[in-house]
Amino acid sequence: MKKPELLAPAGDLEKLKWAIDYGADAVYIGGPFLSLRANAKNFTFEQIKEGCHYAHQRGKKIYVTVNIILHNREGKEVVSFLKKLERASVDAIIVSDPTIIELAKKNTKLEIHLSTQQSTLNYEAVEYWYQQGVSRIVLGREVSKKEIQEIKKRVPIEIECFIHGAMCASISGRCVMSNFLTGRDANRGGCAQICRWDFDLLNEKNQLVKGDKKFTFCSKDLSSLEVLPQMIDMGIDSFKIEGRMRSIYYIATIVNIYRKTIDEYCLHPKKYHYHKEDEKTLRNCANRDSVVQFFSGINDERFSYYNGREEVSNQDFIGIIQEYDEKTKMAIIEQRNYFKKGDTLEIFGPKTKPFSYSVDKIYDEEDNIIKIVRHPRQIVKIPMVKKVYPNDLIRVKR
Amino acid sequence: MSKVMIIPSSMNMIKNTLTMVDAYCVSLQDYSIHSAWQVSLKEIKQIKKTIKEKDLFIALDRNLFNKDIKPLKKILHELEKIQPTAILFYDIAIFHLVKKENLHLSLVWNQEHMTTNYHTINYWYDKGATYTRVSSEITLKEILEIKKETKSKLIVPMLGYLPMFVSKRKLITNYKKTFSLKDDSKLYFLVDGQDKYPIIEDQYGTYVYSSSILNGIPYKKIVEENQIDYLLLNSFLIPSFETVLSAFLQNKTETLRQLLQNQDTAFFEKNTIYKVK
Repeated sequence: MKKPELLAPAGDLEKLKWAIDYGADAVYIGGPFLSLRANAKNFTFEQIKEGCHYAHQRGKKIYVTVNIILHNREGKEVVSFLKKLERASVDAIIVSDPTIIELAKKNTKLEIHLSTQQSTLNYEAVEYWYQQGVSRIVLGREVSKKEIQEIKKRVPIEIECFIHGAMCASISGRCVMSNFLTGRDANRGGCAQICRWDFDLLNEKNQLVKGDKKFTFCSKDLSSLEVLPQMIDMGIDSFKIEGRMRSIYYIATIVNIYRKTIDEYCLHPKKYHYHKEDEKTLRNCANRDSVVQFFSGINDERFSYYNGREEVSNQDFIGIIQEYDEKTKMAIIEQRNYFKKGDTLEIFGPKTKPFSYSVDKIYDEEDNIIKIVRHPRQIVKIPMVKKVYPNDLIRVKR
Repeated sequence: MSKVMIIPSSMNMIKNTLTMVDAYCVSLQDYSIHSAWQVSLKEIKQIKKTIKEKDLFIALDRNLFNKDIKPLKKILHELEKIQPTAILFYDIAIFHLVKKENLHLSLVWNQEHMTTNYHTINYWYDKGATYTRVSSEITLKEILEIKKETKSKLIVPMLGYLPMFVSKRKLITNYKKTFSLKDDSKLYFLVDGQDKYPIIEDQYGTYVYSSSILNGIPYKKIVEENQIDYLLLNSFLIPSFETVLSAFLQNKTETLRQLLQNQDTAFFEKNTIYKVK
């Protein structure tokens, strides 16, 4: 059975390292120019180089998003940018504007992936891009399982599908609400996420059509954990996690769960079973409800999300292991959220299979016993029931 | 000299405007969006007869899925027999099929928000799409620069509501179902402060349009002087369109202002930003 690539997002170098350490096979990042997350920190060329070095040393890959829709003035700067990426040893670029495809082909040996921004949804369009030298297509998120299967059957190109994260309400590339309502250009990385705003809805007689909550475009998030074995069986080449703006905890948690699921299923497909508790962890991590979305062939009100900003507060993530003393079995942790004596903690990490226990003692830096850890980034010591490692993460089970 | 193209809303509108315009763009049933009037192949033949030597463009601007491909092939062969001036494509499958099937059909690159630069316009021109419908989200300065740098024939939106959003989801139906609301309007509006954005749903999804009608009359002269090939006026959701068209053609700025109350010049002089500091 072919193991798919697990592709994670990273908004900065630190997150890139966490994604790789937690099990990503490849990481996609934005450079200083031409990336669709203009407001993320994004990487300098030096950081891209360092990220590539870190990844390649561990047998992993780095892809750089060069996926904005060009305006006249940007076209002239593309070649030098692509050459710098090549010199930084990136493994591929993710592109939506065909000008960049042509320039990359003529001036570099960079591998080219077609961004979901092109909304490629059928086998004829896939075949066109394949013939243009694109080695991988990130399909539009609106395709169903049946449609992906047919595309796989007809065109010998690598297929990448989103498996987790936020969803655009629109077909990618066809929403410029941000341009009109805020002046921020959606197709050049300025999206203001108007689809998450609330609106009054009027009918043609100018009467308010009013539900218990206001109208919004907002969709539940995507989660593919339940159908992951089907996606692996279909031979989809790469599984993509959305979220270059997300936190370290988010990236580590999501990557960790999908890594575990892919490995478990590929090792013993017949023994594998779906872990519903992992779904719950994924959901808590994002703070939002999630569903399988279009893969299942469903397109109805079950996708819609009218919770506005009244989301469940996510305080699950409580700290990072900094050190562990095997003799005393004490771990030094840096606090990220409030927790207290008696809480049930769950520890997980790249080498640590998740385990839970109730914390009965907490010490501050001067070894005084304390009951509550409430200060941001407070350093405390807690006894562990199993061996842990630096950079393992701790969440509280509430 | 620039030609005037309209997107009509009925056969009557075509007949009423024959003396005023040079070109028509009609939307093919089941393969297009953003139009109040979608026509069958049979009706296209009728329109072709009616407009005689005037240019006829056919819009196929919907995103396509596997199941659309087989019937699309037949349609493209039928369109080749009709010989419209050109067909507008959004989905790359249309471009690919026209080339693969070796069809004698001229093509308009019409990826509505992506037609923003001459580099990519020239890419599609070199591949065989000899026309471009230019994005509404770029400035006049950028449009004129494109004109200088390309051989592609340019179609520039000058009047009408502008598309802002396309979704496969049925967002109005979903809202009504979730909250058990009964309302069978065909047209809705989203309200944000003083602005009302038309929102429409059909069997293929949901579409949202600008709250103001683009009125490009202040730039008409300069656009014509720069030999932009087609000025596009969309009748979609505009009452008394023929009167509006007539005022536009006669440069009656004040009449237009009165006819189109909620109007603006969109992005003709407004640069969008993409890095928030």
